Amino acid sequence: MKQNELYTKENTTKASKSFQRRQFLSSSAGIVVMLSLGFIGAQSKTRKLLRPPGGQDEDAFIAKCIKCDRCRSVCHTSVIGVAPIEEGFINARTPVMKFHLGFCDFCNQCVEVCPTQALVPFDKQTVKIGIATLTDTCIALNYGGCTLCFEACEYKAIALDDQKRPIIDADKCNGCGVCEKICPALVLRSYIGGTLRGIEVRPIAKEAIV
Amino acid sequence: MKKIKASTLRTLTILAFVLLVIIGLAFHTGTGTLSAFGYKTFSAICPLGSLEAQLASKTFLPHILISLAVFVLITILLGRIFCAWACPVPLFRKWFPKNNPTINHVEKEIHASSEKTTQTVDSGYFVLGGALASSFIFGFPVFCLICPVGLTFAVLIGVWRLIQFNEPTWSLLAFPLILIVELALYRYSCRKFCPLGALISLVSRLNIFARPKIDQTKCMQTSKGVECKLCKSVCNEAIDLHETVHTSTLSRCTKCRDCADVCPMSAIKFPFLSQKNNKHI
Repeated sequence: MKQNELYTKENTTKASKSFQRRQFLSSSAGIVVMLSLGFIGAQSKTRKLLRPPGGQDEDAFIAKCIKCDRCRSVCHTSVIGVAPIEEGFINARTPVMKFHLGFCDFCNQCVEVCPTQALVPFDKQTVKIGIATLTDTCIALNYGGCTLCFEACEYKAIALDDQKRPIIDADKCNGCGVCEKICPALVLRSYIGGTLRGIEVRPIAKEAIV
Repeated sequence: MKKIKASTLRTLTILAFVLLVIIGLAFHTGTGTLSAFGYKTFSAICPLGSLEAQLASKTFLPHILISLAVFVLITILLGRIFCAWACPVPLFRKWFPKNNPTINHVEKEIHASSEKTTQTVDSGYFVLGGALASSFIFGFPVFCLICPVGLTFAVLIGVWRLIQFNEPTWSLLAFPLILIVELALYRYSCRKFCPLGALISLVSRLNIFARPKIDQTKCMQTSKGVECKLCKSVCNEAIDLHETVHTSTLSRCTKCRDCADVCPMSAIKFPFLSQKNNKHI
């Protein structure tokens, strides 16, 4: 009887020792996995993405965005989309502006619903999501005759030169994206393929933001 | 009328959250996902996500304190109720059966050791610590990258957008893959991996309401000496209500009510206020 008791006692201490070792290993594995995940995530940053208004400071934005989907869900023009994993592991599920689907009217709802202030309140007069840029697919540059973006721009940021080609005023352009939304280059020139419209809003390089 | 099983009710509550997300997708309600459900400026933000975001940005967000206070209050009142009634992970659990002999071995060891040594610390706490530290170092909410709750909704949103906007992405393959790996790990027990569960467990030690309690006069084991153990075997957290129950052990209870359902004598109840005389064997 006594021996039996001793045996079980020894057995349990052995088991608890091996369990403690295993627990130590799994615990440190947990920490290591989280740290390496952070490292991999930080390395996976690709190019600068077009964020909803108020999220232009990319580092501050990515630090606070918890990918909760509220801004994308609330956007009434459907311009806010989801970044795919191709844009980097760290950017997957974060909100990005998809000007093929809509344009931004700076209604401020996405900023209101953001629970972590990843999107900070912005000044409607000075905020810039990005700046529109003409691309090679632009109909006016290639053939002439199209002035749709000029007509659509509410902010008078697009002028026409003497050959009726659009000229973008970078100071007036706030990247609302209505020009890209309306650009028919991919429809009328569908034979060229690709997804690049004749005018495209591009993110502003960090140095340019004051 | 036949009583509805708790597992059915749980599926329904989880599906209700999924439905809210789908309504949000269809009507631009802005309700968000479980990471931050809300209406207008009010949101029930994920406590782990909010802590990570504050550490990553090195800023203090005072309005999040309100959310955290509500989270603490709910947890004090109802413990880890989120884990069983809102988290979508248990929905998939039945697809990942856990009849793995090595795991039974581990569970045995846990019990052998918990009898002998002092309380064991779940490795989920270390994942939690690692996630917070990593967020602070690398400057972004790290666990959100692989959070199974977030990824589940991301897949739902991805499929929706694929249909609505013809938007195929690799995310639709990558997210389910990450999820499958995680669910394969989580099937044994969420508490070994999930930092969110660990965070809730930390607070749920304060939970004193609606704790499971065995009616000793009804239980076959205590009143008739029959080796039943059904309640323990069905418990995903492997809580044995017959053992001297520590506060920390019961804090793992997710109030899933599977034990109450499985008990042939209906001896287990979840009284909102339990009597002071917590006399267990």
